[in-house]
Amino acid sequence: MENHRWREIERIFDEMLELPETEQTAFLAQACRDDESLQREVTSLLVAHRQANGFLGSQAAPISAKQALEDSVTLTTQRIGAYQLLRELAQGGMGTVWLAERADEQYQQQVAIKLLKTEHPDIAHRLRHERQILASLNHPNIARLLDGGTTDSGQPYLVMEYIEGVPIDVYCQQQQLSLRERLQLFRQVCSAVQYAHQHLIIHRDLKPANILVTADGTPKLLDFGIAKLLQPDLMQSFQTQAGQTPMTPAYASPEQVRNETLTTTSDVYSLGVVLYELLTGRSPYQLTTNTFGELAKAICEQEPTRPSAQEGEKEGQWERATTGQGDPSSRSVTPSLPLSFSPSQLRGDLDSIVLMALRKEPNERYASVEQFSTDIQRYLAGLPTLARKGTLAYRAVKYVRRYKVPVAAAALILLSLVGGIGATSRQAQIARAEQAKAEAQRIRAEQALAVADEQRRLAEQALAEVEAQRTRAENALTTAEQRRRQAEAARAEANQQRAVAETQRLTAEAERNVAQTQRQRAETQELSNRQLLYTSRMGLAHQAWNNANIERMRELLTPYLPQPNAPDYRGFEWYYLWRLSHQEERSFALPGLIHLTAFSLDSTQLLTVAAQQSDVGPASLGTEVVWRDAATGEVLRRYEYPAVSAGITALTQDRKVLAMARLGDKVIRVVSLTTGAELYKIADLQGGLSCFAFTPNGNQMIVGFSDGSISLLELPSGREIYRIKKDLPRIFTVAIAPDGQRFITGSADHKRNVYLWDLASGTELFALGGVWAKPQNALFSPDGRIVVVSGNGLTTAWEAATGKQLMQLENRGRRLAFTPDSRTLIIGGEDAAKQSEITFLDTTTWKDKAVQRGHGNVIFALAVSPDGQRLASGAADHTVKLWDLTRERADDSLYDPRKMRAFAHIVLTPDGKRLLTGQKEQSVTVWDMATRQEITTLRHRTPLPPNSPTNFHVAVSADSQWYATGNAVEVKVWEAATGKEVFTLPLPTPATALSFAPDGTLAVSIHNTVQLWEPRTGKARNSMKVYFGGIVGLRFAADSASLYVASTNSVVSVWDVATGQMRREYRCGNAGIETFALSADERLFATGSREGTARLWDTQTGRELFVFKGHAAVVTALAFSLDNRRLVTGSQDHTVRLWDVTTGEELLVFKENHSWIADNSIGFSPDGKLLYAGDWDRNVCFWRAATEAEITSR
Amino acid sequence: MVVTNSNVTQLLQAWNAGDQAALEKLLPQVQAELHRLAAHYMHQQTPDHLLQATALVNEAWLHLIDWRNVSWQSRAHFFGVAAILMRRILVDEARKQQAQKHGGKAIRVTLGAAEEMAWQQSPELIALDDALKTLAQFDERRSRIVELRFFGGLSVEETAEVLGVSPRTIAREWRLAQAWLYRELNRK
Repeated sequence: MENHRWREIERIFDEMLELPETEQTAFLAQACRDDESLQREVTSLLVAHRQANGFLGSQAAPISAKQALEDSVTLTTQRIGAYQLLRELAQGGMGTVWLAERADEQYQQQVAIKLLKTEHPDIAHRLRHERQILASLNHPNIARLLDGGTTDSGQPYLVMEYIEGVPIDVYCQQQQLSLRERLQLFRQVCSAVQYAHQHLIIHRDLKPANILVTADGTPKLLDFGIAKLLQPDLMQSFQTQAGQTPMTPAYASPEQVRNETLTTTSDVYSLGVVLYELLTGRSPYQLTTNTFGELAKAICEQEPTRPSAQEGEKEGQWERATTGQGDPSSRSVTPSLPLSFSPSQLRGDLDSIVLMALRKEPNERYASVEQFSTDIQRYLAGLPTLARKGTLAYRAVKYVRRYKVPVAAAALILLSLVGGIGATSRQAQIARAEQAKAEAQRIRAEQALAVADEQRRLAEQALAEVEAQRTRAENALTTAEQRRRQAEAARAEANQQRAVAETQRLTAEAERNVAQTQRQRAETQELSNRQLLYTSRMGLAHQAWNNANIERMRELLTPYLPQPNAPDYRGFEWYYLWRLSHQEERSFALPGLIHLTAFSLDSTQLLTVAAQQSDVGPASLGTEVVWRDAATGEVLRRYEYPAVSAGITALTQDRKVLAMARLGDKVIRVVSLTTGAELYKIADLQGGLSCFAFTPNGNQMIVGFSDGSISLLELPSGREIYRIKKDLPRIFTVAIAPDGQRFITGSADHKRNVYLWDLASGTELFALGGVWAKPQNALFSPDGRIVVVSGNGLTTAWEAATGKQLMQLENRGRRLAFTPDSRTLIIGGEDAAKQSEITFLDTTTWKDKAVQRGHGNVIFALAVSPDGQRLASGAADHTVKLWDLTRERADDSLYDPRKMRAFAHIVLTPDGKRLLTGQKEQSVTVWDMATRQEITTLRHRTPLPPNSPTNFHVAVSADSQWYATGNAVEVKVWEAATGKEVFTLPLPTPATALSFAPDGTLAVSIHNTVQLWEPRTGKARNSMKVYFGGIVGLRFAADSASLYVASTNSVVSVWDVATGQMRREYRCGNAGIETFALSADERLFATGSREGTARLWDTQTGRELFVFKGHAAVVTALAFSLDNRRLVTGSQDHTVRLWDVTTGEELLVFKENHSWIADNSIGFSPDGKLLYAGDWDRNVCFWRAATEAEITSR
Repeated sequence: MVVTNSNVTQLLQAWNAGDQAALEKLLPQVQAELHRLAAHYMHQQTPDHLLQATALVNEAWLHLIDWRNVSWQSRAHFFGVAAILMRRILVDEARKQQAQKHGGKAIRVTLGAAEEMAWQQSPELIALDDALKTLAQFDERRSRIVELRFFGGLSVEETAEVLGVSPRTIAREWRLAQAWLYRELNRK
């Protein structure tokens, strides 16, 4: 085919597909003119296009090919082993259950095949092992395991006896079993469980759904030991799937919830829950929600309500599947059964029996299922039960246990006081007494010595006797000495006892410290709970925004305004949401229903035309016309027309004259807006007034009637110049072009109901398509180029000159307005959910620019001030709101309409003034942030070798003076002020990352090498070889002395820039690194992975702090907020997410982007108030947060 | 040579850098993986055999390439380069099948019964390949888009990455390419 002919086909084909189908044929005929073969060619391609739906294209991405392989069995295979699958019985957390039959034998046996969903690596091995044990279970009340294995694609399956029956609780209810019958049935279940326990098999997943009762009343237990096969996946699936499937471990024992080792008493517990429900129709725990967390807490901590204290339900909700072998996990667990007996019958023994089975501590329960069953038998036989006897002792022990810590501490303190210190003082007393006795004796001995001396001097004859006396005295001295030693020993002992007492006191203190730590921990827990509450409130506020419920948003946000002595939880998200919830500049109440808003020509005054009261029937309403100061809202003039209804209004262009009429009436009243006086009226108009509009000069008026006719009237005479009678249905709306040459009408018709007319002659120019039940509003753009009609949630725009449709929007539109420059179309919403929304559309690209919310009901009136500064809206919520149009422009997203581009890397300069978008066509465009206009585009012209990556990296120096750009073959440095290229550095292999240091040094990575360059001169400095695979991220520390390098192989390394030596190395798991960010305080860094997670790391300890899970595809960009408390992530799943760095929780999800978030293309402005994210589809989105000044000014 | 993920990655990198010899070493490895995988598809009896065959090759790539050593920016490029290779393998295989069928005698069983099933729509593959060659004569890029998306299994965004244009452009150009090929293949 010739090239130019193909281009022609391409052009027509593409344009045609942009049109609604009904207009394609006409367009084709026009585009091909007389070239029949061209027309044939395009037509055949168009036909092919319609038929080719999905041809070649449904080819899935390779990842899903893998997924498809895994799912292949459940999707397509009809046979598994010797079994033919018949139909799916159930689907749930554990897998899928199929009804199947054995096809290769004489007799036909129906079986249930369970295809297990598990990721366990050695499942096949475990399955083989367990199967042998399980197959040995042979009991009339246990469903047999017949076979098992893995399918060809590796999915494990089990073949079981197919049981046709209903869950035991349903059975009891359907059969209205008496209390005694229920207990007897339950004992049969116990016997089966007991049998399995004797074979050393624990069921682990006993619940009504696993206990089916057949038509003849035989209970059959399913899935024996299957839960164990899936361990430890089971607990994980409880936790991870709680949100997706109604799988709650309502029957799990406390030790199961805590993931501890299980014994047969775990089954005793589960049976206890089953019995509880059979007897009461209720769950043992009182829960307000059904979350896993709450249930787990209840199972481990809450004392079950006594069965007899549960009120019997008269008529319960009953929505369960009543037959078959469903997947147990897919059942709900909050039954409320109607009972055939009174709960009071349970009082006493049965209460005790059930509660004994439900005790938290495994060894407090019945030691075996047999014991449990026997106790029920004793009850039935009227004998005293084990449980009842145990209850009192159990309670006493429980009391002590509950107060264990305080009791122990008190005992210790008592011990130290009474035992320790008391003993000490008594011992000391004894010691002192003995010492005194010894002292007295010593004195006495000395006196004896003195007497002896005197006697020696006086009587030498008595020497021998004296000698003897001396010996005696010496003996006494020795004795005294011995006594003294004894006394000293006693004192030492007393000291030692005091030391023991001291130790005991210290121990008591340590205990007290432990208690204190626990209190602190509880306080910390409370703080983190408050933080979580904050997180969920922000989520709700965002949801409220999406539902346009601004009032709710404010309710949620206000409590977090800073309070004295309270922590401030707020971060970017709060300020962002606050700003969203305070978009309007001013709002004032208007009691009557609003008909019209308008601004004076100088934009200083605001006009409102409204019904006088709101609560009376519309026909009887009078009209109130008010002029207000547009800046302050102060009322300047007020005119009242009690007898006039203004269901239809029109205004002259000079804002001096207002026309009013009641719908369907014959009279138009025309009043002066300067004096309020009635100027004239036009009476006796036939056909039923429906709508009207003044011509630009105010001398004529076009009127549309209920009977479908249209007339042109001369003013003020009211003379009819012409009347068009074209057999149209009711004319709902009319608008006259700004030049007064043409006008448009919209009528209630299901085909072509919008017409463009020549005003002077009344001849039809175009009939325009569209389907409206009721076109409510028509409008020309101020430049006359575009005409728009809206109503009943549909808005369509055409080119006024040609009648070509420009755009059609569903679910939006009731009132319309244009900005004076015609560049923005403003639509007041009429979508059931978002009727109070105001949407801003760009009239060249027809893309959404912004949305404003604040009204609480349908918008009836919209007007833009002639200076383009303000928008006034009036709504059914009886308010008029003024919006500052200049403010929102700062948040407009940036969209590059040039088709042949894709954004590769988007960077906001550190001064916040420019935005750089690196394109895959190897250029970078510099945009002015204030105007969103292009300043310049800097290009790389060196051609790329074939098949080289089109990646394009951009970096800006810290002072915003220099830009660096890098691609597969070179790096260029540019001077920001002039856009001049400073130098080019050729590269041997493609650049993978670029970064400027605060001191201006430029770092470029190629594969696994980092090269440093002298700023300005381009002189190469040292280079570093990083041995950890490809480099994806470079960040300098604030002192420019070290460089963080992130490599694909999950390693982040820190390098000394001066010496080129590695300083530190962080091994960051094994998920790989795709993108990297460092917090400003260098205390944290974050990594994004291919599997969609982001991880937060501590630079000091190298520890992983959190894993952020939420993205569904590769995380391509990360940034920390300026206060280092938030992390923002962007992904190939097109979303941007904001996370709390202190709790690891997700705060907000932004879905405004159109495509993959480009590599490293997320960041905050220097004031931290503007967040941006750029995507591949030439689109950069901005989210702005309120400043403190904005908040205090409200 | 031992087949490891990393040496396939290296060979592909080398081929991308212009080393033609690398391709010769690469082909047998990819084919071996292909045959191994074909057995897995035995049970898949979807009517769309074209897709089945390409899914097979994609799967082979997933197994062969050590993705952890390839940063995500280059990943789409890898698939881009691989797409050419996949097309060549698939079409070669299809032509071989055809030749055997027409040649009659050849019971040179290189493929198992299962694999034969995967290739039984060879004529369609060959027709697609021929049509793509024709398309390339007057619209190189559209031909490449189909090659990348169909043979390479690339998403719109990944295709955009390889060709350095926006996803929107790819989505637009795809429509005509798809229509044109559909018409060509249904002409007979």
